[in-house]
Amino acid sequence: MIEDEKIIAMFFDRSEQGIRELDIKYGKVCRKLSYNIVHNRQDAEECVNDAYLGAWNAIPPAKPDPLLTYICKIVRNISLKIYYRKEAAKRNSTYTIAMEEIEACIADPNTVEAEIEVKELARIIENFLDTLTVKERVIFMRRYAYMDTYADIAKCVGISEKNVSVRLTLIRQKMKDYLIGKEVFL
Amino acid sequence: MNSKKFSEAISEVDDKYYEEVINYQATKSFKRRWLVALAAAIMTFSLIGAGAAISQYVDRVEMSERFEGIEHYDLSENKKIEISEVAEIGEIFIVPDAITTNREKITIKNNSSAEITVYLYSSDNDFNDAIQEMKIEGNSEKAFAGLSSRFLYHIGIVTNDTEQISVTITD
Repeated sequence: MIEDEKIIAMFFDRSEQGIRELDIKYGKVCRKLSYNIVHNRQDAEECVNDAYLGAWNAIPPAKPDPLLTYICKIVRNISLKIYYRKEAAKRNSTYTIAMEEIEACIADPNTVEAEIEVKELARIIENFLDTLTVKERVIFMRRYAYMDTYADIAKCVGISEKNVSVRLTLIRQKMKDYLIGKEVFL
Repeated sequence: MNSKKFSEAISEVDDKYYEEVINYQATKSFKRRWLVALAAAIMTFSLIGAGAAISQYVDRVEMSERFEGIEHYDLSENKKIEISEVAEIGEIFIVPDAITTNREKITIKNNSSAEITVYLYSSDNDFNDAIQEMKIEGNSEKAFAGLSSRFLYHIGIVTNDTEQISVTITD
């Protein structure tokens, strides 16, 4: 399969072949990520195409490394926008379920922490992630960043689905304690 | 904080956390590793058993034409000789088999911690006149070089320690 550098070079040369190569290499991952959020094949396809367009407009001058992380973040953000736009009608995606899990360890919006900025919260979450083992971090990120199902996570990290469920429960509890410690909510 | 803000924050976390997920390779579970190790051990023992049987068969029935009638160990065929014997201090221990090799050297690996002295004899000579000799420190190896496949060789080992002689002889 073609290397990331060559795909980016095609983007720099404004060759549409770059988009085709990007799709050949990472299209499957992107569609899965998007589908896990929007839970609709057509919406997922559109999100991925929009992400490709976003990448096309950003590269150059951007020169992402690694490319996969870059495109996944774009896909995730676009998919979330679609999700929230259609939120009322959809309550069955992996994203919905994952967020319902997380609701239990975050406070209602009428508390002090409601003032916290997204970027500041991101730094706090990063610090929390640093307290986890690599395996715990991967499980957490797969669930809440890549919106993977338990089955997919289990396959990725080589443990059972039940084990994934138990570990995620413990990680969420850890995060809750961590956020309380940081007075993110009280 | 609501889940939407949480989700937005997750989108903002550093790329390294996303990359870590992509680059993560699951290590095999202990159970799986254990099963693989067990299978490998069974296969190894089977191969050793089969190898030993073949080796004995070859030793018994297959003599090179040059040394027909002379019982010997062909290192090029059988690859190595493992010796593990208790020896008296200063007393020479002669490896039971006469040895031939297709290569120009015979390597001796000293598997014990005590230094040993190894002598190489031609089967034409008596054991008072070594062709070559060398000292090998504990847990190291050396080789007799410049050999010829036209000869049968014997190897003698002396230790000045009461420890067990433990060597591997290879082609």
